[in-house]
Amino acid sequence: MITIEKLNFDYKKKKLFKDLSLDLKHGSIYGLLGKNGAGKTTFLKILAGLIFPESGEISVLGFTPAERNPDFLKELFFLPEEYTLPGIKAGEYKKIYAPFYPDFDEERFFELISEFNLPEDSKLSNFSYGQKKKFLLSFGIASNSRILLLDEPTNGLDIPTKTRFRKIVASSQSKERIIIISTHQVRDVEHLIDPVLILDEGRIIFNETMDRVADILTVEKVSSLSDTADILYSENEIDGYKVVVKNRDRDQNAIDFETLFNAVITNPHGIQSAFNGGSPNETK
Amino acid sequence: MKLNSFLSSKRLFLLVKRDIISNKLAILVVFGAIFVGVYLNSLINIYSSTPSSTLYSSLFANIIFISGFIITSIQFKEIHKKETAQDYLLIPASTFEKFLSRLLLSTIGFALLALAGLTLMSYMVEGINTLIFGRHSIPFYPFSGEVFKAIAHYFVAQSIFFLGAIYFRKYNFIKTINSIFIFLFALAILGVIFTRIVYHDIFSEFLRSDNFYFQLHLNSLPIESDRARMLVRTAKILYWIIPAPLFWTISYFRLKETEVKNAL
Repeated sequence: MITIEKLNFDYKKKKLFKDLSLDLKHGSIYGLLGKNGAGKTTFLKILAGLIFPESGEISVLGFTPAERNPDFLKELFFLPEEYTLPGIKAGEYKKIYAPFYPDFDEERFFELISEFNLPEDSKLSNFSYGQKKKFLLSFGIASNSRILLLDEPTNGLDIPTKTRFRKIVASSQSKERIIIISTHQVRDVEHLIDPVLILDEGRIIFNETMDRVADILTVEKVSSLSDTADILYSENEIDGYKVVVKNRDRDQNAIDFETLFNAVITNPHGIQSAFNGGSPNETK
Repeated sequence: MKLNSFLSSKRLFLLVKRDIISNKLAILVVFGAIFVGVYLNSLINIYSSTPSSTLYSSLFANIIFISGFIITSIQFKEIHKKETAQDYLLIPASTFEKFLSRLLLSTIGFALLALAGLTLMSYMVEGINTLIFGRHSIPFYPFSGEVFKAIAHYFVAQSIFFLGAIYFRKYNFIKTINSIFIFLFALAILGVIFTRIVYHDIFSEFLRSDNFYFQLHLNSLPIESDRARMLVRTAKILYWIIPAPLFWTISYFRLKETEVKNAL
């Protein structure tokens, strides 16, 4: 569904992506995690055809995004982090933009608008940042586009809305659809995204399903680091250490996203080695 | 690429509709300002010692050139701001349709609106003048050759402002005018150098001659009249067929290459 081969992209003379290759399949909600400046937004923009790569092959639903073919664009909805909305009401917006999306579900759109408690009689330009985001998300989901790219979707949302957001996105997933959520707020998308992609220094350094993560890694609490062998990652806590180790006994101590993210960023080779069946001898 | 992916009348109509709805307030403001201008001109004309019978034809030329160029210059303001560019570029329509919708609106669309608008305004203004002052100017007649000639010239010159609208990020109107002046100035310098080389024997200094001068009247040029006529005809043909298609084509490719980089 999305195939990237040897993608190269420079930004301000800095190599942002170097020979990045990736295959993404439909029916999943991918979480694209990475530090600030890792290139998550740029990656999504390249997939949307808003930025052209320097070299490499990108195929999204069989289309080259940079060509911005209308048959491709009607299957793609991109929720950017920064946006402006026109000074018209939700209904008018739907009237103008929905006809561009042949599978637009009007009923679902108004259902989501009401679920997010958005006023239908106010101008969109008067909405708050969070309301605008909820509005665009409602439109994107109702568009029934097969590719949904969400850039930092939980930024600006209050806590109850974050919960509602997770519920709505999860219920909007279908076998035909691929959702990519880019975020650095990993806790917000916990239990929603699967598989996890971690982008760092121009490469995807981690691409695994949560089932596999649970099979391979586990989290333990120890009082001293010398108590445990083969530690992949450790974090200081008040009463000792939280450590990530290989899951030898197939325990189900699910690793939280934040710990997983930190472990991958801190010790990419050790984690990779654990997933490849090797010994985590590159422990930090 | 399939033809339907390149051009679909349905998508083109949707884009035009979107642009009109999004800009309806701006259109009303522009026409409100034009109405005020037209009314003031008409008042001056009816009380002038020599009232002009072609007031509205001259006003039409002014409206179509000044307002038309300004409106054309802001046609692509959306693509120069990151937040609006991504929204516009991701509308499910081809680049050609996006280009064509804006081109149609700023050429045929604007010309028709100006024709209809000024006709209506002239009858309103002169009706008011007759009622209040008991005198009036001749209302606008939109089907004269002069009017169509002005529209044709507008289409040619508009193409430069259309390219400027895509090319420049800010102050598109001013920057386009500056570019035209720089281009014409460079052309004049080249002309002088060319003339100096061709007619070097009659110049005593670089730009000074005691017995050589230019006149813009073609019949006075030191070339045979047949040749002059042919030159003029060729220049006219080139003027009508080259600039507009050339600048529109460059504009299309420029739009196609537009990206939404973080620095935008």
